Formats: sequence, C-alpha cells, structure tokens
Amino acid sequence: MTPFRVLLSSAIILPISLLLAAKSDTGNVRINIREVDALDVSNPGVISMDGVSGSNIFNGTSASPGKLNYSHNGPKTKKISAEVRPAGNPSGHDISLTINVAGGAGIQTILSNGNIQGAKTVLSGITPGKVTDKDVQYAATCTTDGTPLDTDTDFVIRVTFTTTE
Amino acid sequence: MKLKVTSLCLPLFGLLSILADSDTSRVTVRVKAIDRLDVTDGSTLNLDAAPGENGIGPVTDSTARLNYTHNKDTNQKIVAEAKAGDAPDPSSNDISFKVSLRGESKTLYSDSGATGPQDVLTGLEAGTLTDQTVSYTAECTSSGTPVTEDTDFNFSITFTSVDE
Repeated sequence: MTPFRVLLSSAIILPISLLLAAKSDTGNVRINIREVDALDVSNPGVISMDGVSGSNIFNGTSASPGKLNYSHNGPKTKKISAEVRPAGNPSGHDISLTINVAGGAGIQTILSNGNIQGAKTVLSGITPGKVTDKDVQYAATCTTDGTPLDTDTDFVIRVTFTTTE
Repeated sequence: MKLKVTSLCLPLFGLLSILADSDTSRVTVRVKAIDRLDVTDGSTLNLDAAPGENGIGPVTDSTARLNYTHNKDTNQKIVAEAKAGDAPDPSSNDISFKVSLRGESKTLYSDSGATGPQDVLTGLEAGTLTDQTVSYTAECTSSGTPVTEDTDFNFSITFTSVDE
C-alpha cells in the first residue's frame, strides 16, 4: 500500500464515526408512585337473632363473614379501627355488637346495649404491602325487653373502618 | 383548553386518594319476633280417701314448669284450658281440677265440665318467665266419682299466649 492510499482511508472513516456519535442521546423518565392507602370491607351475612322460651337473651353471629382487603405503601406501619357512628346506629334496640378480624386484635365491642363504644383497633402493625381477604366476623346479642317488636325486624348497623398510622 | 382539563383532574385524583382510606360495612342484625311458650307435664295426682270421709283430696302436684319468652310491643297474657280425655269420661263424675301459677288459682274443670279458657298469667311485658311452678290441684267425692278399680282420668291442659 502506498502512503497516499493510507491517508485516503483515514479520511473516509473519520466522518462515519462522527455520524454514529450523533445518534446517541439521554432520555429522562419520571415514575410517579402514588401514595396508596386503599381499604375495602365487604358486608357480612345477616345476623339472625332468635330466642328460646325462658331466656331473655338473643344471640347470633353473621351467617358469613365480611372480607377485609387493604393495601398501603406508607413509610410507617398502619392500623385499622372500626366504629359505629351515630348516623349508623338505628334506634329502638339494645343490641350489643362485637367485631373480630382474623389475625387482628381479637373480639372488640363496638356497640354495647345499643350504645356506641367509639373506635376500636381491629388490626394493627400493618407493614407496607397488602392484607387480603381477612375474615371480619360479627356477633350480636340483645334482650327481649330491650328490643321489643311485633314482627321480624332488620336493624342495619353501619360500621366504619378507618386506617391510621 | 387541554391544560385546564388537566388541572381539574389532578385535584380530583387527590381527593379520591384521601377517601380510599375509609370504608363502611353494613351489618344487618335481624331480630325475630318471638313468642315461645313451653310447659312440661305434671305428675299423676293420686286421689285417695280416708276412712269415714266422702271428700277425696284435694291433692296438689307442683312438678310442671312453665317457661315463656316474648319480645312484642304489646303485653301478653297466658290462658289455660282443660280438655278431658275420651275415656273414661269424667263429665259424669264430680272431679274438680284447678291450676295455680304465681299464687293465682283458676278452676279448669268442675262438676259441670270444662270451664273454658282461663287467664292464668296477665300483664306480661316483653321479657321472660323462667321455671315458673305450675301447680295442679284435684279433688272429688266418693259418692260423686264412683269407680270399680283404680282409674286414671286424663286431662290435657293447653296454655296459649295472646295479646292483652
């Protein structure tokens, strides 16, 4: 190869390298992670209360449990409380209502003789992640003289669940 | 225009996020209207005469028990009615038969036959009666109830709760 030919080859290759470098770039991607704190509790089956002769007490448990599903991604552990608020408590009864979330704080009384008992922690120490299909069982009692009625009567009680840190 | 729509949507998403940390569950407690009455059987009343006495008895048995529960708005009462068994027929003799509850005694059967429904408990508010003693008392006379051998006369007593 003559010196002239070497110089010629270099002159051709250099512009090609420059062209390749011009096709590179840096893109920016923004990933927005929302703060998740999503709670869903389904309705349980009806609690049917029946009495027997000679006993003043009615007892019943929900025919099927409610289900609790929860997700959060907060930096701190969360807990869930349950309560009956005044608007969710019908009048004319002396029903006591307890709630028990599987793997939670055990049996908690949220209504006592018809009276609201305030918010009770039902599940605590919830680390970021999910809680899936936890059974929420309810049990109720009342008395014949405290809940007088002439026909089978449904008392619909609204239980409000709230998550807090 | 596009910018305006976006800025409207963002606050809405924020609001939804806040609401998602609370949920309400409906718990239906169905309380049945009940009116439950249960009365156990009494034992046999053995009527026997003493020498020189025409009157036989009275003899009382207090083994029967009454349990009752109701949760009605209306006060209830309990009535009792006696019905004699088919054989032997007691209507041709002078057996007298009473029931007593809480110190109140009512005649259910006498010389002239069944007396019909009798109020045995009244003014029963919603609540319960537990293990109430039911006493039955019977008597007759030797002359009014002649028999050739030991004879059982059977009575069925029907207790019914009704609105007062």
